[in-house]
Amino acid sequence: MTELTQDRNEHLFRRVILVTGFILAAFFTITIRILFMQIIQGDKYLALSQNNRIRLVRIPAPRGIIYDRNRKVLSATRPSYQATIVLEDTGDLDREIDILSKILNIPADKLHEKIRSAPRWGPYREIILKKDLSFFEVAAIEELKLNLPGVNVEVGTVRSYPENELAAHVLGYVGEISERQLHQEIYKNVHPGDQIGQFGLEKVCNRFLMGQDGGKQIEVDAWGREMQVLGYEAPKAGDNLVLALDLELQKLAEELLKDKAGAIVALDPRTGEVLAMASRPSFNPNSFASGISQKEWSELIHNPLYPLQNRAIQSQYPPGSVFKIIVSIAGLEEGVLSESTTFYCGGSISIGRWNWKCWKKEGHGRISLHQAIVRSCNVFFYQAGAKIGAENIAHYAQLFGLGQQTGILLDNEESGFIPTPAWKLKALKTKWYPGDTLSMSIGQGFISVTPLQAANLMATVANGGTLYCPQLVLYVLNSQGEVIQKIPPLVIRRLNISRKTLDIVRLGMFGVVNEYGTGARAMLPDIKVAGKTGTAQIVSLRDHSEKDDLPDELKDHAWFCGYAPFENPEIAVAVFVEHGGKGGAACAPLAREIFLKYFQLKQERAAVKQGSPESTSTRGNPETLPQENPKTSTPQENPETSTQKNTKGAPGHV
Amino acid sequence: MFDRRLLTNFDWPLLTAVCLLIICGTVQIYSATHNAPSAATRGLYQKQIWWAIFGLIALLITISIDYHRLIRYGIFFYILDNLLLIYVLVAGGVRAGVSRWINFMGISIQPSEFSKVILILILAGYLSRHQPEDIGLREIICLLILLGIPLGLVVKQPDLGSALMLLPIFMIMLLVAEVPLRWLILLVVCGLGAIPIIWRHLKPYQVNRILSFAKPNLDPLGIGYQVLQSKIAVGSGGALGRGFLAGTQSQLRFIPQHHTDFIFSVLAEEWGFLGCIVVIGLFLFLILKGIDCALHAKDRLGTIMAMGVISMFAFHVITNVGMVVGLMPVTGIPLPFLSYGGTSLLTNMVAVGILLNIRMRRFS
Repeated sequence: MTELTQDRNEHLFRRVILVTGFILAAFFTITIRILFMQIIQGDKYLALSQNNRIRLVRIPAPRGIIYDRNRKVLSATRPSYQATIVLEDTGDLDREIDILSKILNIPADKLHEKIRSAPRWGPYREIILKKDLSFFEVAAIEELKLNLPGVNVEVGTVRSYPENELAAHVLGYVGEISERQLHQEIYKNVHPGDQIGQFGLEKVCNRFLMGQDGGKQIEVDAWGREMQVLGYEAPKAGDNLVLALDLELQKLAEELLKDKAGAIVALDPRTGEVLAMASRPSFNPNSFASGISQKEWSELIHNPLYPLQNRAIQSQYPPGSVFKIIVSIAGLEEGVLSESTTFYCGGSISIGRWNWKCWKKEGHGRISLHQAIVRSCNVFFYQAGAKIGAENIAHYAQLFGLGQQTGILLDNEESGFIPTPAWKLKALKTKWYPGDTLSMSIGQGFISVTPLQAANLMATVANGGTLYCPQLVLYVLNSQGEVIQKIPPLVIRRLNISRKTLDIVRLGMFGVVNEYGTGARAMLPDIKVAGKTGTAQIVSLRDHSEKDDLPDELKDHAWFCGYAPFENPEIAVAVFVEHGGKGGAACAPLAREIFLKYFQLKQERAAVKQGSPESTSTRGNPETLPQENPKTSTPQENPETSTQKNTKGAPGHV
Repeated sequence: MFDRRLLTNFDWPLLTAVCLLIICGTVQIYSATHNAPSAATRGLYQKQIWWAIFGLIALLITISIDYHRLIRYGIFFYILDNLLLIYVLVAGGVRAGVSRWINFMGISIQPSEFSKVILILILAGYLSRHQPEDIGLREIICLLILLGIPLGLVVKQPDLGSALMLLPIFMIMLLVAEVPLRWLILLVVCGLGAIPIIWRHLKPYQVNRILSFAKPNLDPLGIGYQVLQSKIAVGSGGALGRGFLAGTQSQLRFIPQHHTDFIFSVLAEEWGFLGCIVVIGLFLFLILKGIDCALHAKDRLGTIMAMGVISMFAFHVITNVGMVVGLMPVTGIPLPFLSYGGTSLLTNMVAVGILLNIRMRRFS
C-alpha cells in the first residue's frame, strides 16, 4: 500500500511540476514583454501618449442605391462637405462658435447644444456641426481657418432623391439615429450621429442599405494634420435595391393625383409586384437628408392633409360598390346567386323600418346579376346580401385579404376592417341588425379597406384566385451591381373560387367599363379594361339628395378598381380620391390614364429591346411563380397561367 | 469546529497577498474612474470595497466547512448555478448585446463567474471518487458532460472568453488526477479537430477579435485601436510609472473598460515596471503557495481541488495581462482581485478559501 502511494506520489508530483513549469514560463514571457515595452521601448510609447497623436477617422460607407425596375435611380448618395470640430484642438471655443454661427447661419447656443449633446466616447473625436455645406460656407471656413483651430471641412455624404417627391412614401427618408434607436439591437453597429432610414423602405431595408463604415488610424502632428496612416480599413458600401416600381408609371400616378388627396396603386396580378404606389399629398425626402428644419417639420406634421401619411396603405375607407365584387363571388360560390338570378329594383326597398334607396331614384327595374354589377344597382345587392348573410360575405372578404395586412414591406400598414355579427356583439354590445347586412352588401358601414387591399383584390380576381403579398423589392444587388438576392413572389393563399364564378364577375366588370356602365370613362380603344367603381359615402346612406352641390369636405370618397387586358391581365389598379365624388367620374379617368401609360411604355420598351427577351423590365414569367399550398392549387384554378404561357415570348410581352 | 491545529496551519501570508492585490485593484479602480462623467461610475471603488468585505465573509464560511463536506454540496451548487445560467439566458439583463447578468436586489450577479469554482468542486468530487486506472470512456463522457453543460450555457450568453477559461481548468484537473495520458491526448486532438466547426459558429465580433489579434491592421478602429491604446499605456509607464492619477492614457479615457478588463494597463501606466513586478510577484506568490498546498494536501481530492483553483487563477492572469500587453487576443477576461466586478471578486475569494481550507486540514 505504502509502496503504491509512494509510486503514485512520484507520478502526481511530475504532473504538478509540469503544470507549474508551464505557468512559470507564461509568467516569465509576460514579464519580459512588459520589461521590453516599459524599459526598452518606453520612450517611444511615452512620446506616442504625450499628446496622443493617434486619431481615428471614420470613413463613412456610401448608402446603397434604390432603383426602379428598369434600374433608374430613385435614391442615391452624393458626396458633400460637412463642418466638424475636434474640441481638444480648439483655442477659444466661444469665439470660434461665434464665428461659425455667422458662417453656418446656426444660432450659437444651438451649436453649443450640439457639442454638449454629442457622444463623447473618447477624446479627439470629431463632432459634426453641419452637413451638406454650401460652397460659400466651405470657402468661408477655409478662409478663416487660422481663427478656427480644431474646425475642419470634411467630405461626407448626403442622401439624395433625384426625383424629389416621387414615391416619397415608398422610399421614405433618412435621418440621424435617435437616442432611443441607439439602444435597439438592430442598430447596434450604428454610431451616434449616424444617419439611418427613418421611414419607408429606407427604414425597413436599412440593414441592406447601410453598409459598413471604414476608417483609418492616423498619426497627426501638433496641429492635427495627418502625418501618416497607421491602419486603413476600406468602407463597405451598402447593398442596392431594385424595386418593382416603374418610375414612369409612378410619375404619372402622382401627376394624376396632383392637387388631390388620394392614392393610386398598380400591381402586376401575375406576381403581386407593385408597379406604382402613389399617395398625395406628398413630401420631399431631400429635406430630411441634411437635417430638416424645425419649420419644415412643423409644416409637415401640422398640415391638415397629413402629407406624411402613405394613403395607399394607411387610409382606410369603405370600399363602396367595389365591394359588390366580393358579394357577387360569395353569392355565386354559396349557390345563392347564379347567372340568371334577377331581382326587382324600384329605386328603393323597404326592409324593417327603413327605406333603402338605390342610387338611381327611378330604379333599374328587373335586373340580372350582370346588369347589377354593370349598373352598380344597390337594391339588387341589398336583396342578394340579405340572402347570402353577413358571415358568408365576411368570409369571402377575408379570403381576398380584406381586413388583414397585405404584408407589404412597409411600416405602419393598416389592416382595414371587415365587420361580423360576432364582432359587433363583442365590441359594440349590440346585435347585428339586418340593416348592417344591407350596408355591408354595398360596401358601406363599418367595413373599410386600404387602396392597396383594393388593388390586391383586383389582382386576385384578375389572376384567377391567387392572393399575392404585394412585392416592392425585386432584387438586392451588391455594390458592384451583382444580384445577391432575388426575392421571389410570395403567395399568401390560393383561393378555391370556381372558374365560372370568376368569369361571371369578370364579365360584369368588363361591362362596367365597356357596356356604358358606371366605369365607362376607363374605357380604352385598343385594350379591354375591366373594373368597378365605388363611392365611400360620408353623408347618410338613406338620404340621397343631389350630392353635386355639396361642399368638398362633405363629398363622398371615390374609388375605381380595375385591371387590363381583360383576357390576360397584366396590371391591376386601384384609384382612390378623397372627397372625389363619384368613382366613375373622379377615378375611372385616372385609371384609364394609368392603363394607357402602362401599355404605351410596354410597346415603347418592346420596340427598343426587340431581340433581347431577357429583359429586366418584367419578371412576370409563370415559371418563376412559386408553387406553394398544393392542396388548394389545381390547374383549373389558374386559367391565367396557361394563357400566359401562350403569350410568353410573343412580341410585346417583354 | 475550529480546533487549534486548524488555526496554526492557517496560511496568513497567502491571505495577506490576496488582500494586497485587492488593495492594488481598488486603488486603480479609483484612479480609472475618479473623473468619470457619471457619479455611479465614480463610486465603483466603494462598491468594490463592499464586495471585498462580502468576499472575506464568504472566504471565512468556505474555510469553516471541511472541504470533504464542501465537495458533497458540489452537486447542489452545480445544479443551482446551471439553473441561474439558464435564467440569465431567458430573462437576464442585456448589456451591450449580451445577457450575462442577473439583477438581484439592486446587485447584478454574473453566474458565469460562479461556474468556474463550481466546476472545480464537481470535477474534484468526481475525479477523487474514481481511481486513475478505472477511468475509461464512460467516465470521460461523464466528465465531458459535467464540463459541457455550463460551457454550453456560457457560450450561449455569449461569453466565449469565460467559457474558454473552463477548458484549462478541466484539462489541468484531469492531468493532475492522473487520467491516463492517452485520454488527455485524445481530448486535445478532438478539441483541435472541433476548432473549424466552432469557427463557423462564432459571432462576427468574435472572429474579428481573433483576426485582429493575428493582424492588428485589420481592425484599426475597434479592437485594434483598443489594444494599441492599451499598449501605449503600458509602455509609457516606463520603469517607475507616471504617478498615481497621472496616467494620461487612462485619465483621458483612451482605453475602454479600463476599470474592468484593462485595469492592468492603468496600473502599468501609473506605477511602471515596478508596479507590474509587484502585482505579478504577488500573483506568482499566490500560485506557488497554492501549488505547495496541492503537493502537501492530505489526499488526492485536496491536490486535485487545489490545482483546479491554481489553474483558474493562473490562466486568468495570463490571458488578461497577455491581452493588455498585446500577447493575447481580447477576450474580456477579468484580472482576479484587481478588475472591478463583484461576482468575480466573490468567486475568487471563495477559491482562495478553498486553498486555505485544504492547507489547514492537511494533517487532520
